Amino acid sequence: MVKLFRFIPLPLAYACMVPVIPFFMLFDRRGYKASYSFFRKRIGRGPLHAFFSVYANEFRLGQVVVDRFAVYAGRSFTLQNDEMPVFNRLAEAEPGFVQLGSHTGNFELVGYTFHSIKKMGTLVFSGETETVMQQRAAVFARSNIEMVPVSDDLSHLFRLNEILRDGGIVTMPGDRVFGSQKTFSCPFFGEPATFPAGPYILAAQRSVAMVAVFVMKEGVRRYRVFVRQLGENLDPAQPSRVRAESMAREFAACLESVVRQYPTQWFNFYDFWK
Amino acid sequence: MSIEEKIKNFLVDEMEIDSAKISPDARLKEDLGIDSLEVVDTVVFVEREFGFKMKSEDFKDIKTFGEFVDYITEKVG
Repeated sequence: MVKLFRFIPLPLAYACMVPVIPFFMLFDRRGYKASYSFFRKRIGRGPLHAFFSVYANEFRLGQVVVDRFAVYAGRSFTLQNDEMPVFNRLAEAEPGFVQLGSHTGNFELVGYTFHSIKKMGTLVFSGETETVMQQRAAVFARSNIEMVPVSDDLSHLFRLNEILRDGGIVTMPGDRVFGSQKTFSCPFFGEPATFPAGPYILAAQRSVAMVAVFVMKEGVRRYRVFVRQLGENLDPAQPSRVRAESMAREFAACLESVVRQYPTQWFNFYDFWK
Repeated sequence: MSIEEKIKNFLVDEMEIDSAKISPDARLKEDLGIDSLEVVDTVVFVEREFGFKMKSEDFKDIKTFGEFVDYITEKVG
């Protein structure tokens, strides 16, 4: 099936989703309510505008998934990345660093775009289909990227720690609590929201740099990349937990700023503030 | 400072664990509340303080504070 995406024009693939999305809106009530509430409460849109925004939100998600398959099939996208010097400076330095993604835009494209001589370990969750995992592994293998699956025996944490210690890049989501239930409460769209403590503590404990990366869809074959370094002005003498929490707050502020620019590319379909 | 004291200080200062709870029989997970995140913290601490790398397999057999101290003592010794 993936091979099909080598030939199908992307606008045609997107068009196929148009009649399907209302069914998602109708039957995935939890997702619908979360998305509708996001546009009403956080973005401040009226009821009708919010309803159509949910449709646009689902449509954007579909486009992003189609684009991923298109990449697996060997197609390329244009990424406008004016902020690459931030990434390149860190990638050329000796120490490793932590790169944070989020459930917005198409973060996975980072793996196919940011090439570095550094080893990159990216945390992946079990539960995705074998096809997706195989295709992703094949593409990542060409870019010096190792997928590190989350496992019950915590071996993923040891592996990520090793990659970081050896000067590599560790990529993980900065907006989703997994494994450890330790969290930081950060202001986000005017209310406290829960962010995972793990990624920030990992960076603070090892005193390595941390960047937030957002890859946002702007056109059929065009994305814009945002790279923000976190914790640049923190006092290294502060306890690691204090620095970690500051970085989590900075990440939340960056995420809010990007999501305000691209609200239909917010793909956390649950009550993020609960 | 003994190995036991160094580890205890780390648990109290960095992880904010109540020192009264720390005893040789205290279970790391159930009694001291050390979860996966703190495991990574601990690994970094061990590397920095005692100069060797811990493996994930090593951690599987360590259940209590006393066993952890014994493990470090054995490795350092």
